[in-house]
Amino acid sequence: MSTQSISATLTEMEMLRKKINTRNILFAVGLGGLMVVMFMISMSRGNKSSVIYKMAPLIPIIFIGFGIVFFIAMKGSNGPGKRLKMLYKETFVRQLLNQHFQDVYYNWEQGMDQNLIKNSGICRLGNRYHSEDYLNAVYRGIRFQQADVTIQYHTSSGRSSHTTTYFQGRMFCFEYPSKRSYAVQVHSKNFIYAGEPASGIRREKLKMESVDFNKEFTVRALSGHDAFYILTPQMMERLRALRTKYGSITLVFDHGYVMVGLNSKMDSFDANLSKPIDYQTEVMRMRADVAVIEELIQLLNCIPA
Amino acid sequence: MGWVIGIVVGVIVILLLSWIGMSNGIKVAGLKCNEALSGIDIALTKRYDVLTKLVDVVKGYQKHEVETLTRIVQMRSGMSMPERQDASNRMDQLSGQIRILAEQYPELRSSQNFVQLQNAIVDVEEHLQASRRLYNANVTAYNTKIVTFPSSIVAGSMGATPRQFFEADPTRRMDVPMNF
Repeated sequence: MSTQSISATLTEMEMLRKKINTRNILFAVGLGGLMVVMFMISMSRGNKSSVIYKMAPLIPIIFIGFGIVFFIAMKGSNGPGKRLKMLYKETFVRQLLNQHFQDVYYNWEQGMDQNLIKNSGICRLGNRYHSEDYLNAVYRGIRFQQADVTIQYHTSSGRSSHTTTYFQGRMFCFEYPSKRSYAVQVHSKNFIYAGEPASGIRREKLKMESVDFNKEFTVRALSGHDAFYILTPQMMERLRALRTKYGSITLVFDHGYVMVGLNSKMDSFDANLSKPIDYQTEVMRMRADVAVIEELIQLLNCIPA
Repeated sequence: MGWVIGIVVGVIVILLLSWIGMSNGIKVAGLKCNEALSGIDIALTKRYDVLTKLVDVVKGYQKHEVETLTRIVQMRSGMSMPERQDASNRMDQLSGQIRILAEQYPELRSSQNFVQLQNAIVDVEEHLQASRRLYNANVTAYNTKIVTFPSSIVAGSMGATPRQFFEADPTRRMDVPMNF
């Protein structure tokens, strides 16, 4: 992209960002006002002489009025919001991906196939699944996929409802050099929603020889030999470093691929709407997101020697 | 009086079930050690086969050098732990000697057969490491079970004794001197 076109795009993005923020503020003010009116009406209940009580017949009109304001605010924000997202992804994300990787397929509206997660058993699947920012590319000869994934379990019983978030963060799937099939699952102890593979074959829980590693991780495998083959002392140290950096992680090594889940509650390749869009700052932010992919491929020894 | 008998019977049943549980736990831990040991034997056998082929390739290039190479012991069933360790250490020595030979004779190093066998050796050695680590982890679990109270009482009655680890060659544990 030329400097002029970048400048024009940035100007448009900044205008859209302000529009969205203004509408969000209107929405918040409208909602706040409605809450205040409702509160005041409920407090004046029984006091027939109060002004608020006399306004009670106007409640339906107030509701309709606020409803129209909300509708305009929400409808209005979809158009600019989607346009801003599209411009941001094309300006910052796609260009950077093409610079760092080969054979790039990127679709910010598409997500990772749920069956990939189900078959590996890397995480429990609830009844709500959302994924976006799907990327399929090659880095140093290694084919990989990544996407932002949110997995939740929602229950409601008439009066109350509850949502448990099983996983929220980035999910990766890398080619993994293997001369045999493995079925090794490793997750940090603070990741409590690890799943079972779709095949139904239970993996046995194992302890490694490192006490520190056993304190931080749970290992399950079909064969103890496979677990010890994959989890060399160097690999265990790298996984500990990953856990320190990202907090909660989960991995599955299986049949020529390794799946990695960074349960960091953070999405990738997203704009920060709270601050003005600065080109260099956004490029640095996106580079950091790209660097995670490169780092994981190196750390997990995906590249054959 | 009846409730006293009931309590006594209950305690006896609990103790009996605990005894059975601990006894089974010790047996299962022992079986895991045996299983892991067979994994070591498989890896050592594979390593022996590949090293034998490597020696044949070396013979094809430098026949006189073969005489100086360490003789390795063929794996057989029923070997004791010291015998296994000795066999593994001899294979380590042979592997190192072949690598040194390859550095001295470029035509050997560039032979396709040699390269393939060297890659196979690396793979086999990685599997041997995994087998050894798995075996030692299982032995640790087994030995812990039979020495800690109260399972040590059950272990004593079964005649269970601590098992030996599969240890690395002492020379390989030393720091490598770097002389530039």
